[in-house]
Amino acid sequence: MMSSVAQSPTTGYLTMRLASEYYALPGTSVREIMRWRTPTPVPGAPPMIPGLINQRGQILTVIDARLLLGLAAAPLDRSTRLVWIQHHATDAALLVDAVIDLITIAPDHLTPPPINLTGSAQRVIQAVYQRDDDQPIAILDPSALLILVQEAL
Amino acid sequence: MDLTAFHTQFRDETTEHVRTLNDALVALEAQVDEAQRRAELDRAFRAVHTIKGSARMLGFEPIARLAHALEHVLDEVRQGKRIPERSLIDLLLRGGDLIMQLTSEVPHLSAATLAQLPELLQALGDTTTPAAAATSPLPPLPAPATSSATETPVATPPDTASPSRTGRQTVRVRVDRLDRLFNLAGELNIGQQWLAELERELERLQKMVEHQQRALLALEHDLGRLRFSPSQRQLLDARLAELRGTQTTLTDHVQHQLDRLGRHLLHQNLLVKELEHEVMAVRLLPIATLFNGLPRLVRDLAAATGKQVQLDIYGETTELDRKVLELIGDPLVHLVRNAIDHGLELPEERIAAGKSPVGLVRIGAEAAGNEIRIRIQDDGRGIDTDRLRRRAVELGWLTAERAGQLDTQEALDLIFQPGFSTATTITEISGRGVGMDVVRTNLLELGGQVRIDTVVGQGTTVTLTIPLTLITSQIVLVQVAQQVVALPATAVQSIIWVQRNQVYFIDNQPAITYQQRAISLIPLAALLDLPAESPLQRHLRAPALILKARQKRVALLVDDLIDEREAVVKPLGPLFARRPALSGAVQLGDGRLILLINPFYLVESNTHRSLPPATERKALPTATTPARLLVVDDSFTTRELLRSILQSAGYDVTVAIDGADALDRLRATTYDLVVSDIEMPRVDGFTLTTRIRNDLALVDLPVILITSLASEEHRRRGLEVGAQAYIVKSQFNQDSLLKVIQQLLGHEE
Repeated sequence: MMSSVAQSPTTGYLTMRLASEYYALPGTSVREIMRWRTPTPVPGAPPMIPGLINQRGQILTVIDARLLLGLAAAPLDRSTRLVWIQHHATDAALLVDAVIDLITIAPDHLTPPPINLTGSAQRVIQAVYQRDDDQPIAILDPSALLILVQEAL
Repeated sequence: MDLTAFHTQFRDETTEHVRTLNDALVALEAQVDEAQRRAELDRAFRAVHTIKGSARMLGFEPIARLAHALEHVLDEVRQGKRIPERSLIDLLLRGGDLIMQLTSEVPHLSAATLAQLPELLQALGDTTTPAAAATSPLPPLPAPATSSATETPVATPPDTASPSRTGRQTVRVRVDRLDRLFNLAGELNIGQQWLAELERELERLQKMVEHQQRALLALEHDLGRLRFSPSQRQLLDARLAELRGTQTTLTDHVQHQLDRLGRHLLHQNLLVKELEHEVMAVRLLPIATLFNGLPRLVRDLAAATGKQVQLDIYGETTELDRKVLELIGDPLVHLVRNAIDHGLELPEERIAAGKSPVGLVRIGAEAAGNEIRIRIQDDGRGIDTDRLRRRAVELGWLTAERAGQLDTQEALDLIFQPGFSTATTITEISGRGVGMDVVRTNLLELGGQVRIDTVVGQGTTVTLTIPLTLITSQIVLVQVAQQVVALPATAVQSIIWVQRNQVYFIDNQPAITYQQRAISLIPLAALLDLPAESPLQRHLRAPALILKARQKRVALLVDDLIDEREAVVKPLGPLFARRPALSGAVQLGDGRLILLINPFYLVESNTHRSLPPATERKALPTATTPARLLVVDDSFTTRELLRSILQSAGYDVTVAIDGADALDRLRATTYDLVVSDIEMPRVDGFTLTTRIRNDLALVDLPVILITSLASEEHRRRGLEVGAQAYIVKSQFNQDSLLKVIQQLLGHEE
């Protein structure tokens, strides 16, 4: 069964910046936001998996969201964050360039993703929120994102 | 309102009660003592009565009706109106089976299963109209009167139907909560290690203070022998007095803090140990929960194979962690099946060999130090290792010369290779060489081992050795290339130093001599795909770990040994499901996270890469079109996961969302193989298989069922409806799936 974001009147989203683009995750799938720390590398893992961290007893796989989406990976800096996402029984830490805000979006403000998307973006972007006079925000599907990672491992 | 918690609980409870029923019925049949028979009969009666009660309460009327019919028959037996002869016991057992099957489908009882009900009710002599049960497709939803209790899913409504329950109160707790407790207890343990580190730091500080004190005394002494003017002397004395004062305070203070920390640590250690012990104890269950099903299994198998079997069980009270029980359930059943099917001879053969016509199967468990040993022993024909060697040659795995060089244990090791089976007729999955593979895989997952001892003509003993606790494991830390990794200490037999000049080559593979035998020497870095040259290229000697569990020995070369210690192993989570060689992570006292490697998987995949040797490998037909597979699953995640696994293995994959969809696709296109889930809306996996065989007349199309239904009954049913293989999700790993597919497509070498 396809997972979908709850269709309540408005849904909370965590917005973040990856390279120069803006993305968002449904708030229901976000557990925690952490500062960057060096993970333990996993032999044989692709570059988008820098390794593993331990957050209070839970092992989290760190996923470089920029590489996953085929974006340029800038050096890490003070605004780099790890976003603990949880979907069903799967936990992971998403590496993002910055966490921006928690916003609410009414479902009727979301538009389908552009048809010219390719690669992994096509699979993990489930909708787009067009802000007035500002860059659009692409809404990520945590389930599709985790499946993509699982395939790559 | 959410009834899931109730349904889960109902499933758990009813499974237990059906097990009791089976047990009591089999015992009833074997028992001669009248009082004992009476007691077993009462036990069976209580079990079905309880099932009836809870099924009614939750509105699963078909289950309640069936339980009622069983209860009725048992009551008549109690009153002496019916004799519990074999056919009646069979019927009652079948009733129990159907209850299990219906229960596993709760809350949506399938029409296919319900269709079996009328016939059975009739056979049981149900007086009410049996047709009504079959026509009601779904049970009515339970009355909302119980809604107040749904807020607390862990709480159990009182079980009014079992008056025998007395004494201490019990609460059902969800397994994931237990796991979390387990994990947190582990975290505390790590915290303790950190505190101990702090204590050592303080001790070092104390040493430095003592050193400073001695230096101060020496200085004072030296100054005393020098000449100073009275005013200088006075000034020096004042300064020295001040230093002495500070020094004393410092010494006292460090000593005091050290004492406090030491006491606290001692106390805390006791508490943490106690907590760990308790948390572990909560997860322990007697192995009887597994053994209880065996009399029934043995009875059915003996009947099916025409053999006479005496089953002897010991050590039922031995307690094991529930995860261990879960993982050894299937291997145990498989081994018992092997013992009867392949091990024991037919009565006439046994008499001819001068044995009693009744074969003996002994199954038992015992605790030995930090391990539990489970033995499955038969006095049958034993395993002919020469036959195993010949089979390996037939399969093209080994040359005749190499096969001849294998010693007994190495030859027996062949049994565990996927795709190896000497059975001449393939009757079901155990004859396909999938089973022993699973036995070893599950044991490895637990850090355990399997050993086979056999004497031709006298019998076979299979010993499963499993570590007692899972909360902490003993690990060995090694340096590989730039990284520190951990290996389970249970996997390591010994550690040796290898000199560069001791290494020689067999078939271009490095080897060394250990205990008068040649064993392969593999750099761990190479197995992990880490870019690094062999440690022996940089140093004259390097440490190597001799691995234990495999009957064939391997030495892993590492850069450096770091430590051996106790650690809490944490799971890596579902993302790493496809990398079984990475079995978890451990956190060290200093907070570092270290990967735990299961070396057997690494070695295994390495052997598969290199075995059979390239020169012996028959050329595969080139430029074949990829086989077309149909994947059927109603879960999007599972479907996509399967699709990607199979596609990366080079197959052409199409997906269907349920059985009905699959049938449509099968009518339109031809496929080479079907991989299907069992529980699906509209048409389930069993029905799908039946219809592939009957409606579509695709008699030879291989069907693999993948399911979370781990019960023996479902396995049997899957094979009955004509599936070629049955893979339980809990044991699912992609390698075994790919191997089964290869075999079924006839691509195995």
